[in-house]
Amino acid sequence: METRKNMNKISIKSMCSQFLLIISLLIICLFSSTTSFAQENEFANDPVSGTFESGLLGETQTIETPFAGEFELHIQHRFGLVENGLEDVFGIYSTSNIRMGLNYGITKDFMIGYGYTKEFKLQEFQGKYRIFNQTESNSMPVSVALYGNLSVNSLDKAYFGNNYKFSDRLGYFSQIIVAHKFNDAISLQFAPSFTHFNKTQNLAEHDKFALDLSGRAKVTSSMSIFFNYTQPLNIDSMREYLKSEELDPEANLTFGVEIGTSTHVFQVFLTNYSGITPQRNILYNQNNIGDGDFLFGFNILVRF
Amino acid sequence: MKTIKIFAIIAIAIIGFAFTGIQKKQPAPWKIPAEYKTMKNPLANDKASVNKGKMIFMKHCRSCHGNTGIGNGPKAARLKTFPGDFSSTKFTFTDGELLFITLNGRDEMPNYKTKIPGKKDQWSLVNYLKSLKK
Repeated sequence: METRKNMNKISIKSMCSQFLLIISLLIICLFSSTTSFAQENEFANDPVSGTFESGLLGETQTIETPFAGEFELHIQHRFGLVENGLEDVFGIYSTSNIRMGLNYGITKDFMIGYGYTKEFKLQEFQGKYRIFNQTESNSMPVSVALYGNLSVNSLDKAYFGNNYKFSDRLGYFSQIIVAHKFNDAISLQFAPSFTHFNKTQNLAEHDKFALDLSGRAKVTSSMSIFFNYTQPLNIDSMREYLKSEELDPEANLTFGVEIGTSTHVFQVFLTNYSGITPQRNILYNQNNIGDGDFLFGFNILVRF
Repeated sequence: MKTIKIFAIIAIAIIGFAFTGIQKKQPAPWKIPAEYKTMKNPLANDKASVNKGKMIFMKHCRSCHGNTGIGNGPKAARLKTFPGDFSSTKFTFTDGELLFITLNGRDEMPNYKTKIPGKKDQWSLVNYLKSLKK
């Protein structure tokens, strides 16, 4: 038993180190591309457009925000695990999780939003601010955005047990997003995040750092393929409980297809996450990539 | 007798469709400010800019103007005005005029100032529209 735990620790550590190595290589690539793509023309200092199709890519936020004065309606669906095959048509007839949300662009770089998720009746308030824009000449090689999400669990207060306080309902997610558009087809982004819940279920930790790597590649003028990989960092020195590693959240892999039009974005994908809200996903995901715990999901975004 | 009835129905349907086509208004001439008529395109009309313009066209314009810009997109049938044929020899707008039309729109055509905010993207679209002419 002890040996197995040690092996798990070693494999998690080696996975983290591999992930960090990939990130380091990516950052080196980003900055080395600065000079090679430099252009000296009147568009040199213009911000690049269309790094991603929208502010949401599968399970993660991107550096994109709605235009100033633009609304964005989100309809998100996560079905059951595909493991039962035709019995529940790969999870499509199984219990599903749904989120409806509305974002609004206050300026071209700042948005606010509200969303409601079926599971745990989570009401979310979110904001995103793009601090830097990548320029055409790559004099600024990356776009950088800050994202914050506050969730309020609106289940009956009996759910929270004794000594209930309103703050028990709150969960926080904050993220810094760094993205680079390599060319009209390929964009990548790296996004470290921090999650905190005031009150957790079972022996789940209250705090969790995570790293996310996402990318998309256009295959036609309006269709792309994309991926997200999110690795929660299960850091021993941050542990609050003994043996809490048994409840460590699992990493997520999402991959799918995106179709973008002037007014709509459609994304269909396979993912390990079922929570939709990022703080729930990062702290509580027990679906394992290696065990094939995938489920179908889709996002529909309508701009108006 | 039955055959005559079928032919009559088909003939009525064809005439009906033809009449619907005639109903579609031809677009009135655009009123374009003088500054746009002579505006120079600062972007080289190369393969890269045309490809970029094609991506933008497919995202924002295809649904009305069609895949090849001849005005036969899936939404075109619901429009009151014919969206135009960019492959026609009558399509003689200058680069600046095309930029004005794209950014401002009129009637059923929305303006794309906010949806295509980048100047490079706007001129790339102009280069692509020019490339559709046969």
